[in-house]
Amino acid sequence: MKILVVEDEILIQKSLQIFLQKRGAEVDVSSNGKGAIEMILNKEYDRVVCDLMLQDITGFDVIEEAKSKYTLEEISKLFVIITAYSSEQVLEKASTYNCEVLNKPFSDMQEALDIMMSKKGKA
Amino acid sequence: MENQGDTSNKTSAAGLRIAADDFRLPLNYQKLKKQISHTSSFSKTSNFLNQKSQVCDDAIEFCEELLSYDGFQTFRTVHFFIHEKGKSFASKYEISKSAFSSKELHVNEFNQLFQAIKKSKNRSFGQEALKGFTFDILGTFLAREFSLGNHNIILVVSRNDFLSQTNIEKKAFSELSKVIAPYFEIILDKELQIQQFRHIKLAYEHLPYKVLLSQDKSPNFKKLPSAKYFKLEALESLDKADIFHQERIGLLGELLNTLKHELSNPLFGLQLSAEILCHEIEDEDSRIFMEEIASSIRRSQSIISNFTEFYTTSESLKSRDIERMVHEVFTLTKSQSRNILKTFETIGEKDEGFILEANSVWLAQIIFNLVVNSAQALNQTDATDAKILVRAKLRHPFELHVIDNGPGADEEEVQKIFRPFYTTKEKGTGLGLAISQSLAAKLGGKIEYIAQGQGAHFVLRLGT
Repeated sequence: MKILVVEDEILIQKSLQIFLQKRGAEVDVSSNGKGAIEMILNKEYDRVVCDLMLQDITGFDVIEEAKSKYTLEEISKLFVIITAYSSEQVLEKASTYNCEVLNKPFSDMQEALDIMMSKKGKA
Repeated sequence: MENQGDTSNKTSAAGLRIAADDFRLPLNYQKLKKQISHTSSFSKTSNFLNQKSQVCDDAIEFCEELLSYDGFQTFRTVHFFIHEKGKSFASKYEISKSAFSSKELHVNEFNQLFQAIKKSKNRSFGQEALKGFTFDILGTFLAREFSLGNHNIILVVSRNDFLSQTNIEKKAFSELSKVIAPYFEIILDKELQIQQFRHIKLAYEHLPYKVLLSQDKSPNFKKLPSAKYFKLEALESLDKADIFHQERIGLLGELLNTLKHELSNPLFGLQLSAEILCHEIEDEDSRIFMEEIASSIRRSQSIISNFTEFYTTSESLKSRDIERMVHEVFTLTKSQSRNILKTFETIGEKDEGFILEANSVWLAQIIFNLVVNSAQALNQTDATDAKILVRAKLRHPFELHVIDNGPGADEEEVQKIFRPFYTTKEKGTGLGLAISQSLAAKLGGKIEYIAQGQGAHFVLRLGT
């Protein structure tokens, strides 16, 4: 399974990379949105774990750009959104993409990893 | 001037008081009434709802009444989810004829459920349909979401069995869903109005101003949303230090919220990496070192999340909240009370249903000041068995004692102890006790010094 982790908090990014690698995933990382878009468009990923508050653009912008390559249904399965600040507006917006949303800090690390590694994304 | 004097006389003579009607709180009565009267003339359902909504005091009662709706006879339970917009928590109520329970859930969970129901076509669900939600509804159910002015709600009815719904049941639910929204809106807005008025009244009671009310328009009077007029007059003995202090506390609350958001992400990063390293490090000493780091990180995370709770204003406190508050104060005063043994105990029997109606931030501030006061006094001594004991009577009338085994105060000092800028400490400002006393007065209570053999003993009494 090939996973891209988009997260600007370096320690979270590296830790997720290690946790996911331990579960057998092949993991690429990006600390910013623009780099992530390039990687999504040029490579094939089974899952993109994406933070919403990035330094350059938002995670939503990344998803919007991914639309040029993937259908809406594919996007709902491809992306797992991770966010530290989930207001109603953010969640409502996230729900329009129908992606899985995880709150940081994760209340259950194993469960969070299960979701990131799941075949289908959101059921 | 004469006119003004006249008005204030009238004010007291007429005994004018602030009332809920003086504020136009967000109610859409007129619009809603119109909607209702439009539908009610020709519908049996609307007649039913009209009748029930008038006799119910709150939404829970209203939900219970729904079980008697024609076509709902087979339904056993109503699950009612409600989220007041802007709040971080939603509530879930399980209501049946014989039982009632409630639960809090995170707004994220609520919103996910809300969206799932909104997206479904027939609003009829089995166990499978909403898999992944912590949603303890037995069997199949019908659900419908409503977005109201101030709330989002979800109404779920179930038979508590696994048979799918009959067409009659589906029809009854759909008929009801079509017209029920404005009734919920009226009932919920009314609840909200009562709550908001309670807040206004509290702010009004604690304003550092005297509020003059008048029926007539006089110079310098401003109009309330109702027909009344008001004017603010500064109190003679306005304690400036006190106002600054209030502002500072308010600011601190905001600052801490920002801090929480800014710190929680890097702390989470530290938590995850420490967890990984704890497993990777083979050298025993280094591993133990790393585990210490991990546990410090977890403590930081819990402090930062408790902090913000500490500075969230609430107006009614349960026994548990008060206990938690005292322990939080112990944590927050740690730097000043490092070598002091701090204990909390309750006096006599605890009344589990006890609720203290008091501003939580002010109460916390008083406890904080009293504990710091004791700690500072103890730090000036060389005592090796320094102790602070906080004892609370968790029933009416509320009492909270802060007792230490420090030098205490002699008779002469006791007279001046609550005066601003009076201090016996090298680095004291002389404001801690003065501010605490003025906060206690605002809570309708008093702090007293109890002279005893050794050490200091303060008691805060509220609602006597």
